[in-house]
Amino acid sequence: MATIFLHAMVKELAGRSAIEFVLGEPAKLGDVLRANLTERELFLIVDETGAVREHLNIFIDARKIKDLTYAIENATSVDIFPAVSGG
Amino acid sequence: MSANTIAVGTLKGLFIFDRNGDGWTCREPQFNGQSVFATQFIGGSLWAAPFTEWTGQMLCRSEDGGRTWETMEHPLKFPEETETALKKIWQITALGDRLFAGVEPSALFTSDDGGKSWQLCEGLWNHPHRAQWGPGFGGLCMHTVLPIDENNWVVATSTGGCYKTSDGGGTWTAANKNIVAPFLPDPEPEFGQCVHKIAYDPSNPNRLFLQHHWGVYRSDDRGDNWINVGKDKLPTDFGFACASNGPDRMFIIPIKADAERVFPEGRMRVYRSTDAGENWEALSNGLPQKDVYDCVLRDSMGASSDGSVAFGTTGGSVYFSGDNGDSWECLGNHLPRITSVRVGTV
Repeated sequence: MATIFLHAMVKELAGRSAIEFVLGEPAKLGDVLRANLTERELFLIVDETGAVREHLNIFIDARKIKDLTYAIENATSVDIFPAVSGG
Repeated sequence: MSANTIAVGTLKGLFIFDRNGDGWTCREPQFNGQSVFATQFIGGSLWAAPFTEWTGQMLCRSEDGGRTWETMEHPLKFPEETETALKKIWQITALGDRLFAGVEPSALFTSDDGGKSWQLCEGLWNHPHRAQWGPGFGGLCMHTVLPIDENNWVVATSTGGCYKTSDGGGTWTAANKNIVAPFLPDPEPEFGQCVHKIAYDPSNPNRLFLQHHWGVYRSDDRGDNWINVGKDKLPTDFGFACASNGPDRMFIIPIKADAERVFPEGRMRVYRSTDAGENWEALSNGLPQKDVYDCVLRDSMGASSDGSVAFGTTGGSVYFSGDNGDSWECLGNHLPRITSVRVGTV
């Protein structure tokens, strides 16, 4: 079992913080997100051209990955954070 | 029915003012931290388009005057084949059961199912002029959408100018005749004008009022021909906001052009015409007349047929008039930069 964790503003706008999923076999990050998030939740993270929004960061087991074609072979967490802004 | 609600979109949330006896009270902000460039009263609903640089654009509807909100589950977005990403929603409006949205990059969307799904107006998207439109200082946005009837719609984009369709969005023609464009090699081109805002006279929607980068214009034929109705009558040619609650009545707010973008002479004045632009009067009763150096953006003034007019400034002040601008009261100061104002009844 693995979990997509939504943080800060992404969590507030999605209305939930954690989505568990089973990674039966290696899968691309984009496919994992599309399979486990609603269309509205996914649009917070990925625009309609398929690009991860510029000011969001995605971490797979704490490793920063913004390439949606990245193949997840085994992982326990996908964390999605707004980038820090301001200073 | 008298307007009882004012929706004020800002760079950091939506602020709603409720009529409370003879005065107004401001609720706690909605969509904290999110920019609201478009809000609109449609029927008994209130719509808002909150946006963040992190998470993009959402579209939300409230059926209880902005106390609770429903976010549209299927976001308004560009078709995949356009290879285009939505930046912002700049305008929400309706005609009957059809919803319209003007967006950045400049495009028009419609919805016939209450906003559950949206369709790109391909007739406008595929217009050969579109490739030559360029962003104004606010971005390449379709900031004006005026559905006059089922088939006749008028839109405006900065920069690109005014366009109209007579077949419900299938084909479009540029509608900028007589509008000057001093920043282009041809001073009166077919298109490319920096139109800032267009309003129609609700008592005669074929009559349009237009605030341009270089003047205030009127059209009596849905944009086929324009005449400059402000030349030598107003303190400046420049401005953003333009509103009408008819008949023949329009409001504009001249701004010192164009890099300064402040009220001229440090005085906050609204200009009103009650004869479709032939004559103008400055309205300042209740407005500060000294050391005022903010301004009013293109969608930050709203008016309704009961004589209610409201506007908000980039400095975060909100002003209301219940008598078509004869007198004004300040409803609040120190809000974030105000990007949209609408007056309505819920």
